[in-house]
Amino acid sequence: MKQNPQLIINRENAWILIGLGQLRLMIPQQQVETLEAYAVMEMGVVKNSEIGHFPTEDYRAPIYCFSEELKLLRTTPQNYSYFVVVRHQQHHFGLCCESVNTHSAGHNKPEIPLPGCMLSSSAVFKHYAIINNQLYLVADSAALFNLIQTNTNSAIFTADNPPLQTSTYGASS
Amino acid sequence: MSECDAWLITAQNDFKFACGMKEFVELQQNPELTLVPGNPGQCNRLMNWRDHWLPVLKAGHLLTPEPVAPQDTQDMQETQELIGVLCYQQQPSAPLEHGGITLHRVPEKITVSEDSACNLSQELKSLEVIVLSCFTYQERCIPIFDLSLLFTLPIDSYSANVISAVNYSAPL
Repeated sequence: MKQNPQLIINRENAWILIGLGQLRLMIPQQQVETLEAYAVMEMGVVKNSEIGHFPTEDYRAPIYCFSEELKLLRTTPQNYSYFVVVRHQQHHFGLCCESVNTHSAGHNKPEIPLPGCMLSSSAVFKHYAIINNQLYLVADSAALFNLIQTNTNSAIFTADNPPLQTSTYGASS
Repeated sequence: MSECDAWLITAQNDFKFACGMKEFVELQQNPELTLVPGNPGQCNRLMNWRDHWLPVLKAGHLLTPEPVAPQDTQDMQETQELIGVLCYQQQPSAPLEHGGITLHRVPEKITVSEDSACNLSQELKSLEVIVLSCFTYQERCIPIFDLSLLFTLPIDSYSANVISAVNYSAPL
């Protein structure tokens, strides 16, 4: 099938915007596997600071909940009604959030580098963007993965949480 | 003997440095700040100033080895803060850029004489990369920073005392 070049450009420069209290993050859409309502999360026995799981035929993603200061929470704030499942390499993990939106930057490059003094080798964020007069921190899946690893201080993908071999959302939409 | 006026900046932990009269632009009291969690604790907030987003640097913690818990959003709303807006150029013909510094008190105008120049004190050695020169004032060594380096160099490129905000989100 012949693809529409405009659609390809839009998809590559599309973003998922999530809100965690006053903290707003934007994640490349290509790195987001799916957006789900909190209610579909599988609760039950959890470990490594996750609050639940999102099981599919291909993977079982642990779901984490961060505060607006990026502290891992054991309980989810009542107004966190969604979660996004993010893919990093062959790994999947979910992040609870208060709000979810999408943004297509078209031909524009929305990312603005943070000033050098705000960076370090372990800094989570390196760019931000202003969308509809609001500041969003650019969070790619690698940074989020490292953040979870640092916070939980343990491997989040284990034998009963196998990584996925195929992708769906970002590649086929 | 030549003299010139300068601003003496006092940041937290009684950390002092000086800047030129034209480098200090404005004093902001309790501006709205946006937290950038997960970035170095010495500089993890942005301030919207004249439609630009400026880094807000806690200069008083550049030398502080002990960790200081990052301020959360509630703290920021309840704490009275003074922020000084400084300007700098990366090159003589480059446009002006700006950055913010948290202040402990309102800057003081002082006069610096040429013969007060001194060597960098041992306690400031770790900041040597970003120091242009220094002078003695009230028996203390006061550094003058290259502000373009202060605001553009990653803190861990010159200081071993980077406060990692992530480390404070320890496992529950």
